[in-house]
Amino acid sequence: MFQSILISLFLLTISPSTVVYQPGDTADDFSLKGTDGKMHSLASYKNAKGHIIIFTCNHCPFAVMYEDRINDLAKKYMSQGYAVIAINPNDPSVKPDDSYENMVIRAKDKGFKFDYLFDDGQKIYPKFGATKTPHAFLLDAKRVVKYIGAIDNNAEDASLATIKYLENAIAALEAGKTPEPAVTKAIGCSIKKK
Amino acid sequence: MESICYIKMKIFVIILLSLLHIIATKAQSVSVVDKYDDLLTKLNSPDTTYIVNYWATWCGPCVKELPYFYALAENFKGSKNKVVLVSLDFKSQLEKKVIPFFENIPTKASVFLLADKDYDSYIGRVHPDWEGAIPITVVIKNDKKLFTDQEFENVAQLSQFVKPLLTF
Repeated sequence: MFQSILISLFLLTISPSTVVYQPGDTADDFSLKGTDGKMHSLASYKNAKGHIIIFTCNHCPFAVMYEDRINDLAKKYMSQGYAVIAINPNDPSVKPDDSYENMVIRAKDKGFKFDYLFDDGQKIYPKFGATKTPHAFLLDAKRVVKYIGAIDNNAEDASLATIKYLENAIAALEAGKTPEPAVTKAIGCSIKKK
Repeated sequence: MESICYIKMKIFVIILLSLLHIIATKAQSVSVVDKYDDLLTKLNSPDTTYIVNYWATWCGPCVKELPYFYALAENFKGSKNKVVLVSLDFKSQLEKKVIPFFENIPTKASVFLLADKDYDSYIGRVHPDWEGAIPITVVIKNDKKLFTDQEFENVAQLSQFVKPLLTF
């Protein structure tokens, strides 16, 4: 009894930092402000077949290299019934380039076709376990996490990417299969926090 | 007779200066390694401690902590503790960004550019706890490893971190 209390106490202590979404977990909904000035939640994308969520930002060169690719994903998959959502997880007091105002400018300049949301207060990215920008997550219609990781395997040049991890995961979801791999790792910028 | 001696001396000085120049240039050279396994072959002397920092010229927090690594490399010169800076810049940036970056920094650290693009294959092998954000620092001695994804704020903090695996 005493031991189990100790164990649960221990689990309680470690849970805030270590329990993050893994493939198979159901993600909590959130409500974040987009560069369009409106609040967006996952539920607000009615009848979405799935949610493509990418943590990204304005300043990170690796994130910038993927901007056009995220726009292409939006063009391709929004018409197929997917929600394509980008979230900036950075604290603008650490990185002023990543302020909400600069997000609005960036979204306009680049003609983002997807919603670009601001994780104001940095409450959402730790739940997802996002560790860098860019960092992609694929959720199905019921918000079950299906894939976590890189968009493809060539940051520098999209045309030289030989594996499109995220698109393969979407294809698996379409086919009712489990994405393989369900988790990948890639280089990126650390999430800026105080 | 005197003038020949003078010329000889002059030649000697020129040779000496050019040698020094070569040494100085060599100290700042950046070796490109195409695969992570090739990098491992450079870090496998037994009873040597490798303090390996993964960084890039485009990464602000990385660049900010590099001077602490230069200081450590200076402290450890001639010892069995080697500071290794692994740039994750693209190979296409070698001449444009990476080499110019070290132009006025004659560091004692070894500098590599790891051009391996197959991130998913090697990131987990660098350390299982690494998700891919930089900077990170890994201390390697034989089969022992220390890992951190925290940025160092001063050289004392870095020295403290590497201490358990140092070779004396």
